[in-house]
Amino acid sequence: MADPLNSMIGPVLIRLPPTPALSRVLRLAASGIAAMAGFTVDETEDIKIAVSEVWLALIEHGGGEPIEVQFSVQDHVFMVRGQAAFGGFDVDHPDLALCRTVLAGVCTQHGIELVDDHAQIWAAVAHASIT
Amino acid sequence: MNPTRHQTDGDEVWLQEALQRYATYRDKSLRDEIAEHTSWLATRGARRFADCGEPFDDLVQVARIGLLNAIDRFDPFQGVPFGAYATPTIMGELRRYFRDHTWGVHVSRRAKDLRPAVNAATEALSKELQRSPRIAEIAERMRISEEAVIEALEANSAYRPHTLDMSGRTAPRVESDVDSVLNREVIARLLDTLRPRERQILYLRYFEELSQAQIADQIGTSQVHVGRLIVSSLAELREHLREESPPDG
Repeated sequence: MADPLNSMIGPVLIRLPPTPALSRVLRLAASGIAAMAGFTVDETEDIKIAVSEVWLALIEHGGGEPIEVQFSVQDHVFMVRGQAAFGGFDVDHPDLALCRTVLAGVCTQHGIELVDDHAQIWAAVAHASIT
Repeated sequence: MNPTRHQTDGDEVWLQEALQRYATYRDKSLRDEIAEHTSWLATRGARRFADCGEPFDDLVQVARIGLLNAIDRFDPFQGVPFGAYATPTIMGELRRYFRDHTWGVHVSRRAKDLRPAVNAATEALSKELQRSPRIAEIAERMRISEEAVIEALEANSAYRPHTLDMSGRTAPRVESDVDSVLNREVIARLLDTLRPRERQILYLRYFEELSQAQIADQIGTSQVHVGRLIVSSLAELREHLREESPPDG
């Protein structure tokens, strides 16, 4: 049987209105993908926290437009990338400090960027506990 | 000399003076004193939602956040009674809590029912395997689908702790450890708003970078409980951050 951690999944793209309660939809989707890829419960919890953080930060700082969230797994790394059209996104806003701290705690890498007039936040969680 | 709140007849006078001093000097200890003095406003507000299925203690905590916000925003020089100003702020905080923190998306009966068993299996497998289990391993152990496990685990996150554990251990101070983090003053100030247990958990997770399972071992609780406290603490920090932000964001 193939090792699920060697599998490549996605990208899976979900576009939602910026409503905080919809984070559960994203968390469930992320959990499903993480399970398919063989991530552990611990790692999946980290992934879900990262997904929530990306989602809520884009709602609070993204300008009110629908938000696109993309999930993928490649090379044992789960990637979540959220983006919303908003040229006024302030990547240095002090309120993003919490987001940065949380993402730094649960993710291998993360980024908060303004790319082509889109607010973009991404986070990567690497599988580590199973060899 | 500071007026004392123990003089019943002078309560209103004390409150007015205290609010004026707080508006001028923004002394956090004075804010706490005012909050204690007016905590009945929070209790009264929470009581109005007491039949909505949420633990009353949680409602009081939410209402107290609204009360603190009211104290922060109140202008005592406008001649408006504090109670008249604080009540809608408290009610707004409670309504927002129900909007954002209760089951915003339907959680199935099955997920709610499976939640305790999935948690137990997760803990048992963690001990057996000496690592966090995969979803598939839990599903296999319980002879249920992976989807059911995922739903039950997510129900943990959607489900707030009944009581936020305030007991216990002394949490480490974090200021010196936050040096490497951007905006450390913001984070340190936010963490200081949490209860010691929650502050300790966030400290261990985000600054010591321990896993939820490792934290659970260290503080003597379950991984699931740690996960729940992280989610609720982050929500609380976010709320503080939002309240501190200027209206124009």
